[in-house]
Amino acid sequence: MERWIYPLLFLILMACSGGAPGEKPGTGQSPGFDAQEILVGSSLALTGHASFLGTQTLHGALSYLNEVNEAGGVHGRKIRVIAYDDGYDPPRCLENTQRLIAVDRVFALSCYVGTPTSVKIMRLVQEARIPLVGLFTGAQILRNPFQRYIINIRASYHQETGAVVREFVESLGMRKIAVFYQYDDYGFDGLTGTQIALKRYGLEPVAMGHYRRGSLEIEDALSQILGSGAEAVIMIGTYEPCAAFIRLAKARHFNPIFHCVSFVGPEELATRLGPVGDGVIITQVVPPPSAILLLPAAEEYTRLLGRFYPEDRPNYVGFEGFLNAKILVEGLRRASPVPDREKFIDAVETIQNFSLGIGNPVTFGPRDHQGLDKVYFTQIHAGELALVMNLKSEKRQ
Amino acid sequence: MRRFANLSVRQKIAASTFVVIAFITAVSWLSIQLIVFPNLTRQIVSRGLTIAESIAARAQRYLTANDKPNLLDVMFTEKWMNPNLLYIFVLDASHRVVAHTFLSDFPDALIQDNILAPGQGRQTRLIETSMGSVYDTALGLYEGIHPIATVRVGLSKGSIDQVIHPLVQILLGLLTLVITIAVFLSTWFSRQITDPITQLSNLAGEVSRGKFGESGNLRALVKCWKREGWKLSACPAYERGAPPCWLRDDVPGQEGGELDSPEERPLKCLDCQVYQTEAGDEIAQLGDAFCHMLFKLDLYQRELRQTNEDLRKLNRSYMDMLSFVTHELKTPIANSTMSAHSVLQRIFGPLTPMQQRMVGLICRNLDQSMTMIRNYLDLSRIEKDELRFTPLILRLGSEVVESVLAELSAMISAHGMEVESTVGEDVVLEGDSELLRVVYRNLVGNGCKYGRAGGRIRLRAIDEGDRYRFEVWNDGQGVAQEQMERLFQKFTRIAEVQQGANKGTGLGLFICRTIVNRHGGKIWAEGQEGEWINFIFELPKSQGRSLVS
Repeated sequence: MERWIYPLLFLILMACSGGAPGEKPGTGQSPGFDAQEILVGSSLALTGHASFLGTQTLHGALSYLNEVNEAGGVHGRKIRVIAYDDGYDPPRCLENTQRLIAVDRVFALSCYVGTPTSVKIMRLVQEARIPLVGLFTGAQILRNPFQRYIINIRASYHQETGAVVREFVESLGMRKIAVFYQYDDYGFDGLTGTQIALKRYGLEPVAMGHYRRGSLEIEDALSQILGSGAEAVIMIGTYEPCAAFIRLAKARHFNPIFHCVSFVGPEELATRLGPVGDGVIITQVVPPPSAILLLPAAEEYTRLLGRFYPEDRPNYVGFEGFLNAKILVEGLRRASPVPDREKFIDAVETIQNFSLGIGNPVTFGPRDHQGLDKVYFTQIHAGELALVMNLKSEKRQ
Repeated sequence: MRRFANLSVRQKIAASTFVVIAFITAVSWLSIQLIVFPNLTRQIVSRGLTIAESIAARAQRYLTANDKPNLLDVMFTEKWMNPNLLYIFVLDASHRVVAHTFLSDFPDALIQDNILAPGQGRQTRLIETSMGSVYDTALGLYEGIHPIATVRVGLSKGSIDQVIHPLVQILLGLLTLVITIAVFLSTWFSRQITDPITQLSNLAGEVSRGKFGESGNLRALVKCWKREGWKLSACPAYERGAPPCWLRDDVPGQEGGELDSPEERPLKCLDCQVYQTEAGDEIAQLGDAFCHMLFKLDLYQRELRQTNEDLRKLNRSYMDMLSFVTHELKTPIANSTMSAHSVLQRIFGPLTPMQQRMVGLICRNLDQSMTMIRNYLDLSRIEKDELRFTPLILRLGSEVVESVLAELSAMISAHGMEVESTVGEDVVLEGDSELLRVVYRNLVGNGCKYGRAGGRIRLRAIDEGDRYRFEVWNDGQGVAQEQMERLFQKFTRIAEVQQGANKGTGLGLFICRTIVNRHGGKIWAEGQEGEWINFIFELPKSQGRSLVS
């Protein structure tokens, strides 16, 4: 009996342990490039209430890419950007991205603007295994859990709100902080970041108010916050509703410290607020582009923007797009002469302590797809943005 | 079936176990194929339809408003919520693709795989694509009777495999587990049955070979039983604290007595009429019963042996007495015979006719008594194993046959018998002449007594190589064929076999057979009832000594 029972058992065990091996990402030739050019796709708000963000991001990136192309491109290939307007509308962003991937067959995606739009196409990026480099959003969901094909350059909203809460509580001794947010993924993300940061000090937002994306209906939110006695209001929105909120608050003699995260569009906000905007704090994830004497990248951005888009003024949003393009190009350079999407991601992960010319090196890694972590404070003075080193001294002044 | 019947119990248990496992496996497999698989298929088809309807409800609105982004948003959201959903696409009335969820060029061939007939509302088909087998559901959107769009949803058939595959793996895993457990259990279980049965069988074999009662066997059995943990019944009397009556395992057959040490345990009460067992299962009960039977058999055998010994002693006393009596009678009867024959032969003077007849009668009775005494003496020697066998090389014709015929001449003449002997001088063999004379004396005497008066007695010797075949034939009443074998038994008289024949001791032929057997030969009788009878015996020529010398 024993002679045949053990071979039988072995066969059954083999059958049990057998199974289809797990699918691994392929490293075959990727679409979106030929001997002359590499296609990069982008979907961003070129029209509508967030058009300043999309336009400046694109102009900043194109300023650098045009320069690179004029210098011969990357490995002899020029970088051509196909950009579609999504008007900061997630479904349009989804349609654009599908077209970029399926029809235009771009090599990579870059310079996406906005949290809801970027979150909407997140699954598409994973499914298509296409690199998405540089997003004008600090949403946490695009960072955690880790996603191989998404390359973030800037710090997250959680880092921005965390930094400003720390300053408000530790430097200025505030205990009453309210939150005004856009009712979508972007606003929720900033709200969550603020709540987490406050919780470290045993605090909670004293009031919360929100508005609908694409609208200027901020009165309800203001009335909710107005009676809370808030010493500061952290605002997670775009420049138009934020400007409206600040104007109306001040009109009603409500004068806490207003803070906006970087996505607000700082220059546009300052312009729209005018004198009313004095004292509004805006956290930035890139240094001021005006520091052309100190920062080579700022000088380069200012110079190239003036050359390719002379009607534009240097701004934080455009500068971020400019830096995104620099990382994109560096990644392409580091990928082999015949680029491949997987190799491109691997190449970006090799960028360690890389100087972009902003006085702050950028570093990526196999499990770290966010290059910068630094948060800068700026404050509006007479319609201009000024870098603030210490909020306490600024308040005294 | 015959091959199965020829298997051992262990193999049968193993084979039965595997048949059961194979049956369970087959049933499970069929259940998966006939119940699980069709149900999953139905579910996936139903799921495809539900998705298509969900898309269609919003597609109509977005199509009307030419809102492709939101249509796509709905389609992709649905796709990402269903991992097995391969694609969704919407066709307009002209079968042009309005929106799809592919991230590469739309495979145009897909359109033709599942076209709805005019007026048809829905249809699900299993189609083969580059993505594998797909359950493609088509749902038509109509404005009145006019088709405006078709929603197509493709669900991977692989999702069923994803369910079936783990099921099969679980089934195989369970099968492995069950087989492994079954192997060990069936082996253990079959050993529980076969090992004690084999031991019992071996022991029964030894008993059947006559080794019963040897203390080694008994001890081995008891040891085996003790090792296996089977309990033998204790004597109820002992358990009640009464004087014990048991069989000790170290001295089989010993009854009663005191235990030498507390470790000694009584095994079985020999006097217990009611058998009781403490054994657990049937095998243990069988073993216990076998053990009980063995003890009982041992007891009966020892009782029989004792009875036999007693009988042997009694028989020996009887034979001693018989020998003594016959020996004491032999001399006076021999003297009386001689005297009577002298008177009959008128040595002491003439006799009146009446005296002559009476003396003749006395002589005949004395001859019979002498024959009887000789037979009883021979029987006594045989029973006491004192029959002396002294083989010498002899000429049978002159040293045995002729002397016997001379000795019996008076009887032969008295019966008017005619004796023909072809046993010549050339018949030489190694044997005991005295004993062979007894044989011939009995056979020829029987021929005279039971043969036809005035008939013939024929003596023949036939050389058969290493042995002789001797025949003593006479015509007469003979014996029925079925009675032939009885003739050679002790105290069987031909008179009993032949109604109305002469009386005898019934020992002659028994003595003949004993003597012939002692020579290494054999004896039997042939004949035809009412016609003749022929006593045949074969003797080896040599008893191990060279005849030449």
